[in-house]
Amino acid sequence: MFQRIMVAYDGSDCANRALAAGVDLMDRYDADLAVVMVAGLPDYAGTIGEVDEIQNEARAFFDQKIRKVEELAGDRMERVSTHLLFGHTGDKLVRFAKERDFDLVIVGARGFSRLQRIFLGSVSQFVVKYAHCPVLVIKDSCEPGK
Amino acid sequence: MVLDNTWLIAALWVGLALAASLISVRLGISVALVEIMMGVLGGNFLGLEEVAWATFLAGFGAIFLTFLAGAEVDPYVLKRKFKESVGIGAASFLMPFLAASAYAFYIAGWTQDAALICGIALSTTSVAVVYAVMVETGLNQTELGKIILAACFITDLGTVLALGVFFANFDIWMAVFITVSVAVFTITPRLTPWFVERYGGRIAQIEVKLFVFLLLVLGGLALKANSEAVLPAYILGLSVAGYMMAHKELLHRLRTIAFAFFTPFYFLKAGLHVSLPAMAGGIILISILMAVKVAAKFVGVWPLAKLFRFSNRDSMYTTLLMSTGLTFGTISALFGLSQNLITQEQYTILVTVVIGSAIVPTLIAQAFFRPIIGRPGDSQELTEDEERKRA
Repeated sequence: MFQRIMVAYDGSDCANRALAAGVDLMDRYDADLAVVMVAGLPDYAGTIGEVDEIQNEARAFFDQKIRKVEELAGDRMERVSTHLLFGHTGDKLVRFAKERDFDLVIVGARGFSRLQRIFLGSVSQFVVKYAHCPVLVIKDSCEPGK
Repeated sequence: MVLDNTWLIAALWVGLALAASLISVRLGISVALVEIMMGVLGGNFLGLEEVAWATFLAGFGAIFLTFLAGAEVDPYVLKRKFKESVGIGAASFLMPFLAASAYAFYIAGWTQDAALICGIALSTTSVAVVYAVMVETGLNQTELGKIILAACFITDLGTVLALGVFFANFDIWMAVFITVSVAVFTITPRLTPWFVERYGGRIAQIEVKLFVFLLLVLGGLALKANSEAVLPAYILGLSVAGYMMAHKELLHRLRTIAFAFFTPFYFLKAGLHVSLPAMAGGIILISILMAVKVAAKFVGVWPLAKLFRFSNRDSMYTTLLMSTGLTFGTISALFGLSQNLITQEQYTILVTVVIGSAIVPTLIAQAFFRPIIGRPGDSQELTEDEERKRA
């Protein structure tokens, strides 16, 4: 049913649960898995340095988090690809999923308060609304497999 | 008055800078833009006032920012795409400069000096806004992206040259300033590798002190000639850009020092002098000047983009991105205000137009003219991790 699965990953507990769900589904469907991290760049940057430094920090963070992916995937790592993108998280995830023609997107939902949603927006809601394919949302309190 | 001692006044300045950083991180908006907003808030509602030491820190913040802007130029791209970059960059500076100056002088009735400041402030292109959009879209890896970025640097050069030349005195101090500057620009690229090798990497940050010293000397001499300190700062940055490209760690340290302690004062000060009543009263002029800026950028950049065989979509995208402005625009307006060339009302109008031009053209470009990137197989389509694996 699912041949190309994409997991949105930011290293949080919630994203780890989404990743675990992704690895589980990868096994069940003998699918390929893409783990995608998005680093936000500042809107209307004042200096190139501001943008450059965020990229550098994101790369360091990404390299560190890849280990968690390798740990979970184990010897199935050859079926897993990892990607670092820059920009607005929801927008980049939706675009990337469509460009690469994934047939399932898995995202974690952190359970923002109403106020946080107003100011920060909910990535999972955005992805559910705009993705071209089915989206599996792993809620904050969920444990995959239970 | 509650804020009657230096520490409390400093606490208000630094507190606003801290709040700006936190808001910036939470909302994903540039810290520079939020700092300007906090300056507006502080100046209009919190009794934030300019004091001598803050003026110094803010002034050096502008010099440091300009130096870093020069040091961040990719000299190889500039050389390789010289014709296109210079053509688009020069037109992108000249057309809005002429149009905005003419409008301010002939129609809005500003003085000649104020009209020149208006032209300079609105001629700018925000390299940082453009760069962030490029990274996000992956265009920074493409030829088009590299040309646009290089053209932005040329536009910036036009801005700092105009600021440095139009209001200067051509006397003995100008001769001294030019002579010393040329010597420093020639020697520094050769001196820097040796100096960093010999004295760099220590806790005392000796190489950072060297650059700060050179910036202060050149800034001081520029002031003596009634020129502007950002001109030598930008060219000094350009002169060491090649070295900085290869030594990112030094650039990182310079940025850390600048962003932690100098640039917040500059951006807060830029906002501090914005008067909300003047903004409300000048809303029509603000809209007209914004339209003049964008229209002039179209006249200057769009035909050249077509001439260099950009597609319609790429031409529109390039033109809109070249219409953005932020840091150099506010530096120009603040220079005008501090030299009493413009009034606070005029300053408010210019800064509002500059900030508006950072936001509006970017939104339109991203929403309607985002270039269509090729399908898998093109390197621009690869994510960073794929690029690393391919490498």
